[in-house]
Amino acid sequence: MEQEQELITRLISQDTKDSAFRELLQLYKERLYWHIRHIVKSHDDADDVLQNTFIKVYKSIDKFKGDSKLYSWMYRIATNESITHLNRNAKRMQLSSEAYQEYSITNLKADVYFEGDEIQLKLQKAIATLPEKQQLVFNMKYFEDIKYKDMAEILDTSEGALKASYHIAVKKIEAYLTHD
Amino acid sequence: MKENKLHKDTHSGFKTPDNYFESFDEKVLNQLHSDQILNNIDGHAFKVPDGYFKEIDSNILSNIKSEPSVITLKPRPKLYYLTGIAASLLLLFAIFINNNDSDEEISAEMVETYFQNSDLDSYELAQLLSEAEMLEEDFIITETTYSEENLESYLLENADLEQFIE
Repeated sequence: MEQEQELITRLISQDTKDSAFRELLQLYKERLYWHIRHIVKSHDDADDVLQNTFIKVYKSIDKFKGDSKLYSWMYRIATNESITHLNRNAKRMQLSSEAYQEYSITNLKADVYFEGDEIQLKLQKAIATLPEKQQLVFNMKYFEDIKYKDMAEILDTSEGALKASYHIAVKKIEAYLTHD
Repeated sequence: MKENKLHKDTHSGFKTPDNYFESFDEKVLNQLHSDQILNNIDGHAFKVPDGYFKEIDSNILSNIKSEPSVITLKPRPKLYYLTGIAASLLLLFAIFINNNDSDEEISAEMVETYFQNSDLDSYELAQLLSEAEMLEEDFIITETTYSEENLESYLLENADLEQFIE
């Protein structure tokens, strides 16, 4: 926590901002990339969103009030940026967000950066059938192994509600994988 | 027999669907199997281009440096938008009314025809004129000169002499 506070102080100070930002990139770029990638699915979209996320962090670090951890603040920005990116793409293609998700899953088969087998593709299809919040919770728990306590701070939801959400998501996915 | 009766009573009238217990084992085993499906999936299978995480730092940093400084415009208060909407509505309304008026312009002839057809007596006609329109100075009073001859001939032609006699 002290280390984080020290990093924030250096990020705010104009003299140390750039070097502190490089440290921030080293610390979080991979974690945030995978968080974004699970939402937007394609590498190119994830790359765009990751860059936008860090640019936003760089520009608005002065506004970070320290009410939450820097880590969860950045995850929150990444989540919002990813969802906005998805909605913008869907709007540009004149599709509903559900139809756009279906479209991006179908595209995974031809994606050179997806090497999943049949069951992994089916898992992605199953995730796409879930409501937005359940998708986020499932991805964050199943793939990223984020603690409920941290997830609660990122998604501004109680731990109990998140556990229930994950449980429901798992049941739906299992049903999809078994029957569909 | 007594045991059976006792057993039935413990359910307090509750029953199970037909063959529930016979099919229960299979259902549980299927459930376990589906749990295993999720556990057996090996990761997410998403890949990244070679060297991506090495290059991303410099990409982000060059993006930050190359972004032009943005002058933030003063946000417009809501009142401006409301005023704009009100002005547009007023304009539309005015155009609409003017269009209606121009379709049928009232001419003097139309007014004349109206009075001819509407059978108004002098009192009703007087009612149509407000007091403001009846100011004395609006009337041009011209002094007329008349001779006695003219008066005599007028009375002879128009006046009912019997009325004066009476």
